[in-house]
Amino acid sequence: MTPERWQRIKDIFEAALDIAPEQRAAFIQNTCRGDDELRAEVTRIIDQVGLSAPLFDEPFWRNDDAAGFTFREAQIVSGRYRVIRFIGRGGMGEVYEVEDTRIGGRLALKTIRPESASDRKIVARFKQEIQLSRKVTHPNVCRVFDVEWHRDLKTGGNDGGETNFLTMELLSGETLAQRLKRGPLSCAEALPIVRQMASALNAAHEAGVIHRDFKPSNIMLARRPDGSIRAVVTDFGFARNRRHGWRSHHHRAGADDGHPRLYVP
Amino acid sequence: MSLGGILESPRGDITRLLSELKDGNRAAADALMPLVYKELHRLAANHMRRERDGHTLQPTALVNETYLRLVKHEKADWSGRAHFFGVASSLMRRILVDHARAFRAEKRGGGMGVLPLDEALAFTPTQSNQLLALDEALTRLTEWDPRQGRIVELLYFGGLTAAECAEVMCLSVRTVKRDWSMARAWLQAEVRRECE
Repeated sequence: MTPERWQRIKDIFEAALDIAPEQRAAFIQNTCRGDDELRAEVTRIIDQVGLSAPLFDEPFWRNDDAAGFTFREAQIVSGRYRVIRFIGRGGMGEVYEVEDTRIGGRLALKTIRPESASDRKIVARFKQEIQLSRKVTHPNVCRVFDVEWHRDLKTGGNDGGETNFLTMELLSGETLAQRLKRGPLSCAEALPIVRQMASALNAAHEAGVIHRDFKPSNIMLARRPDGSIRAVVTDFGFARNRRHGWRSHHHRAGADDGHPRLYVP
Repeated sequence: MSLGGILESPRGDITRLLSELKDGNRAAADALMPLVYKELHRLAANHMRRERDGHTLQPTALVNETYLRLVKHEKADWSGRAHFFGVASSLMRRILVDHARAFRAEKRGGGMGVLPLDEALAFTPTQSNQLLALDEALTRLTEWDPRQGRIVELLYFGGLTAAECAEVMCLSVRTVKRDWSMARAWLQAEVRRECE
């Protein structure tokens, strides 16, 4: 194939596309008279128009089980937490519903991805999340209990099979982001949610804590037993403690975390 | 979350490189490549881990996310973004092709050995063969018609819309669409011939 030949094919293809499908064959036949190869090539290409083509119609990356799960159902994690079910995956790791076999009751367990765990900044951030959440006690702020680790002798990979995780209050429901995807909230629905969010932030601010990544996907909408919505602010992992280190060396301009469109002062 | 080399690479650098790229400084593209490549690659691996089976991943989403992470604000001017997408599109193509190749080599059990788990992007054998056939065909097409090849790269691997692509390449939207539909039909025919 030469560039000139290609250009010729292209021109005929485009001209053929402009005419009605039932007249195309005759048009191509006519235009390519004496050059069967040219006619065959144009026909071969034009035959593809309108056909489904997986490579073009569907995203071609699909993950498989290589991503896998850190824990399986009924597994006892760290000698204490029995896995009830997998809840979901977020930026930091996986979330499971677990039962605390020592004290009783259900909790959420959030794993810290191994590559995150190996990063001191992330681990420090998780520890901070707990410290901060210990300071803020409020029904609209997610309670975080502890950071622990689980050692799995069978999988001893690079990190020695150790998984760091957080335990926190189990909230069933959807996030505000998920809720908003389904459609806008009416005023009557939105008002109590907004009020609770504001109340949570106010409690945090009074304790000297600034969230810094306040966004719909960090607000859980849990159901109270009476059916009303309890909005709970989660993920204080980016928060700063205003009394210690706020605007300190941590806070370099340009190195901010948080979502660029949803910045809260 | 954002842990890659990006925290160490001041965003001023990236913005400056983008504006130099816009002014036609090829050296800026060379300097930008490793940064973008590293970030795209890291994000691709992360997405693979994070997403559950049944979810699919659009390279477009990765390119966009990479851009936002690198530039860190959405108001970055459009031409900077457009030029960035030009760089990112060809890198995205390279990353995908590398993975498809590695996947195929691993399936054959030869040569490259076992992939580290985090590198195990999940191509099905069909997908990796199709992608490699597409890449090979696109290389030939680009030799005959560089403009058309570039359009495919921007639209398919970079996820630009026809209008965005037209703007980056200073073409009419109509030209972009015509070139794309013909290229798409031909690539499809080539991939079918190779893989079916």
